[in-house]
Amino acid sequence: MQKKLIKAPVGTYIFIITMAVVWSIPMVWILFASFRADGSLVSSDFFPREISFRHFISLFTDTSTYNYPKWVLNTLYVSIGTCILSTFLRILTAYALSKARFRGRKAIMKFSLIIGMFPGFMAMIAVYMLLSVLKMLDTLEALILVYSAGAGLSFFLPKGFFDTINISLNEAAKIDGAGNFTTFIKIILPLSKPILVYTVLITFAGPWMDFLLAKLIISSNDKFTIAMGLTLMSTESNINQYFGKFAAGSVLIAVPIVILYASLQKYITGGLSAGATKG
Amino acid sequence: MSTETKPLQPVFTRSPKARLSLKLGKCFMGAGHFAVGQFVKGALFSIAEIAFILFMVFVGGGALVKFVTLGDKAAELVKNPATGMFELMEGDHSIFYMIYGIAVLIIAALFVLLFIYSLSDLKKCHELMAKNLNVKFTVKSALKAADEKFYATMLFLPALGAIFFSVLPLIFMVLLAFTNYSHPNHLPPASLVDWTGFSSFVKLFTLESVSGTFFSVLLWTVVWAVTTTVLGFFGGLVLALAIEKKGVKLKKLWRLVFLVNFAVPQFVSLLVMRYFLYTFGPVNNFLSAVNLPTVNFLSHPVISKIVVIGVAVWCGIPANMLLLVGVVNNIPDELYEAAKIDGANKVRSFVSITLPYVMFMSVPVLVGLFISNFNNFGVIFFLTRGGPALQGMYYAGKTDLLINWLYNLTMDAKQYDIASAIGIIIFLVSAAISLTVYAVSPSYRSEEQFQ
Repeated sequence: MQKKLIKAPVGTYIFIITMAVVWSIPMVWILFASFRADGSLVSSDFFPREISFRHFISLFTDTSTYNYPKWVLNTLYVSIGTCILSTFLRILTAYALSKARFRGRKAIMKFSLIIGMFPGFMAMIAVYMLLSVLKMLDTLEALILVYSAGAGLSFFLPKGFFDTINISLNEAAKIDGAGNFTTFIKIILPLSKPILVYTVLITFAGPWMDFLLAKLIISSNDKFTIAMGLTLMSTESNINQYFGKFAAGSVLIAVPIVILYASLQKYITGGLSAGATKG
Repeated sequence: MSTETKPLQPVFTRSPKARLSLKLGKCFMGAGHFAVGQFVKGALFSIAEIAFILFMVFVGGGALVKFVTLGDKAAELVKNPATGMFELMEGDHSIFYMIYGIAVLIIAALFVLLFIYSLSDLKKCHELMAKNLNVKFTVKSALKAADEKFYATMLFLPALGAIFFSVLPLIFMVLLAFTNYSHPNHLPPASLVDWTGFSSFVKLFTLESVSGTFFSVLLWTVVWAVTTTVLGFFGGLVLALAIEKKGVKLKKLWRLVFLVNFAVPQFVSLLVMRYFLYTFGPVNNFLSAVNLPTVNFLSHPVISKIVVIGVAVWCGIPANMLLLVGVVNNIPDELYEAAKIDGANKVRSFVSITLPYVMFMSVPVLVGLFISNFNNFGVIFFLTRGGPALQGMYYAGKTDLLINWLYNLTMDAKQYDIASAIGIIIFLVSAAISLTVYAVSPSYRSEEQFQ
């Protein structure tokens, strides 16, 4: 039989392109808005008439009311700390639950699932009280601690990944005389690059996006994270005055994260789908 | 292996020495170990027990008592005889007592676990001694044990973190629902809080304005969760199928477009959408430019509900698509070819092959999606702040979900007791749904087969 070159129907392409455009419109709009010279929300053109960088510049120069650079530094500090601690805790938990068989294992997994079903916000008030008792309120370290401490409970995706690595690999290593930790570090980890990269990325990006916990715990201006700052800039009263700055600020933080995700695209889809397909 | 060890084992573990050491071990941690010559381990366990006893006597006991009473002495103004001025004498801080009480209970529970462990360790020592094997506790043997029981070593720190930052806060929140911690009369440190049993729940279901709000918010939340999950999941599935279809070029580009959407922090996307749909924003500007009436996307009672669902789906589809790409690609082609040979057309093969396979694989994902949509605080918070407001609603707007209502009740109304009760109800609903689905789904039960 002759091999036919498969061409997808035009309908599929039209569908995909339409969806892609629909999804891109708001993003493109805010991108343009950040360069818009008049910095106004209430304008009727989609494409800016005049281009200017002044919003971006003022983000860094005019730090009187909104100290954008400080926000970025704070958030960076929190995300690096969270990333290291969370990844460590989460990967260990996922691996232990995936490979070991011990009494109480299923109970722990069920228990973690159940804990995860409580609305996250509930725990926040309690955490606020807890931090108040520990006198750690209004510190960035407290943010790192809270983001990371419960990280072990989100073991689902990494565990799914480890499950797909055949147990016979561990058994072979044991026959060769390797201890469990050696097996983990020397054999399993190198094979786990996709999920490791995925976990590092997700835990790093997390603090950039969280608004609630940060707002709850942080009160001093100089400790604001970027999520708090940008939301502040966008309150009703500030909407028109600071729109340009807000657009520029949003673009500035979205861009690096997007680039990060894009360049590690294959790891993300690999990590997501491997964990998910295991079921 | 030699057979000489067999006859020895039952003899030692049933010897009077072994039985005595077990009895001692059950009374006092570490005593049993001393009885069989395990001095190092015995010392370690004994120190732990003594430390715990001291802790309970000096700190724990008092904390537990205060936990039960939640303090009796309210703060009051007392005249200072020296200055003649009224000063605020600090009273008992009921909430701190609650936290301390829970912490003490957790420590006590951990101690019980340690005690059980010491007994099982003792029994193991007996068995090894019966075989005349070396049971000396050295650093080397400890490291070996840590490696063998690597799951315990690995899980130790995460468990500790989870217990103190997830379990303890949750226990605290659950308990709050059974108190009257609220504005205006029960806010420490100014006033005391008491245990009130189920009255918060009663309030929720019966108190005029509160219960009305509760049921309408509950209804909306369920409608919301089902709609956004179904639309988001199937939207993502259709998109994944379209992109992964054989013959589609530039797969990476299309995936990239949606990855960009996925990567942008959610609150940024939401705030952008907020401006986008604003009364004076670009969409409305465009509409008025072509002489169409502007639409109150975010403040019209009915339209706003449709709009928020739409935005939530817009946020969710890229993520779902990325998740499903792997699943879609894993469907074996042979299935489709066999179906074609049997004469199935495209629709038939979709319904009979793609759909069942994807659903089977995605059950946990779907459940997770449902729960996260049920609790999707951000979309409502950033888009409409729960608005538009409605007369007679108690701290909730027309688009508020249960979780947003929880937030308002906590931050604005300071009715922590009702808020906690709502939180528990959210949990019960989520748990009921998830556990039912999990119990029924085959993928959870056949976990072992995958390995």
